[in-house]
Amino acid sequence: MSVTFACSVSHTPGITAWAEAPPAELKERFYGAYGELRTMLEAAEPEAILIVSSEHFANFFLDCMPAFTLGVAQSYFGPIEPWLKVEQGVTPGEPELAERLLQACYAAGFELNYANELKLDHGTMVPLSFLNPDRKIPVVPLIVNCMTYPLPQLSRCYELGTVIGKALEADPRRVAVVAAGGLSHAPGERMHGQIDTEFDRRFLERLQVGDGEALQSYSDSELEKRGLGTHEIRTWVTVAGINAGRDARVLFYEPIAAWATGCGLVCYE
Amino acid sequence: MSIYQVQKLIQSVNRDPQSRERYFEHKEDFVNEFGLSDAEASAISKLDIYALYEMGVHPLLLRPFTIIHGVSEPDYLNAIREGDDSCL
Repeated sequence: MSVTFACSVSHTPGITAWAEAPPAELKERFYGAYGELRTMLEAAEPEAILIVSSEHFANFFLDCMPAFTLGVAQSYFGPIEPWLKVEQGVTPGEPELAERLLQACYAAGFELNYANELKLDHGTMVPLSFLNPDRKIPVVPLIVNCMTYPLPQLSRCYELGTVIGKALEADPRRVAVVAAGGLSHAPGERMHGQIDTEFDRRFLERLQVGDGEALQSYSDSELEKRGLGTHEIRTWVTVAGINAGRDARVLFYEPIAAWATGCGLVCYE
Repeated sequence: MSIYQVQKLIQSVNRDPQSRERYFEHKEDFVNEFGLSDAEASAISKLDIYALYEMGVHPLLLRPFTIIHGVSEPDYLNAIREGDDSCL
């Protein structure tokens, strides 16, 4: 069974924590597009969701910072942020699928870290609050270090995606795939609030035409100039690798100043 | 001493409720446990946001640490932009 549904979404905490901060019309359009993604995901009837998101010192610290960590747990608690305005609770995991993905990745030369305990933060729970609000669909989180140097190269993220894509094709389950992060934003930095719309739109163009090579071409310094949060496009590039050969469609892109983030929502056809 | 130790202290306060309680109730003793230099210990004790940012504390550690201290977003941004108007 191949991937039954795939999308890439922004996960900035303001989306739920400060939902009413943007102009009402803008917020409604954004929420409406997220709702469209949920409708498409539900129509695809996935048995599991693989969600690729970024670390924010929720599980890992500088004492031990893995590049890629796959959750193989039975369940996950989240969100850890009580102020996120997403109900805290337990989301079921999918350890069998996770184990198979892990084995496929090892066989292909990607020795991923794995975790039997992972806490979910806004990076996964904001998207899942829209896409899996009842927590009925089990999830497999893949957490990418998009935060502290050295970071996994974009080429490595894309290649990992292609390996996971092949493994999912060979798996009997119907799986939805979600990338969560970005686009340009700079949380906690001097340039907080600046959103590089030109950068974001160019990135989305490259995604839409499936230009994998161009998606992998950004240097760390090019991304850092748009804010450290922009490194989170690694999750989008990973999912672009999973969906290599499929068309991407932009449902929404706007710089949302109240959330200090270039907010994008993309689905794969 | 080590920016790692400064960040370790901040992560403990941010993420561990017991550490946070000890930090606020016995700050000097708590800070001493991390073996910081005088400048680092001073920056923590005085909550010198500019100094902590300049010494390289990760923004995703520093901003939550200041939120715990009740620092508003405009005050935080003013503090880290002190003497640097290029980002305004």
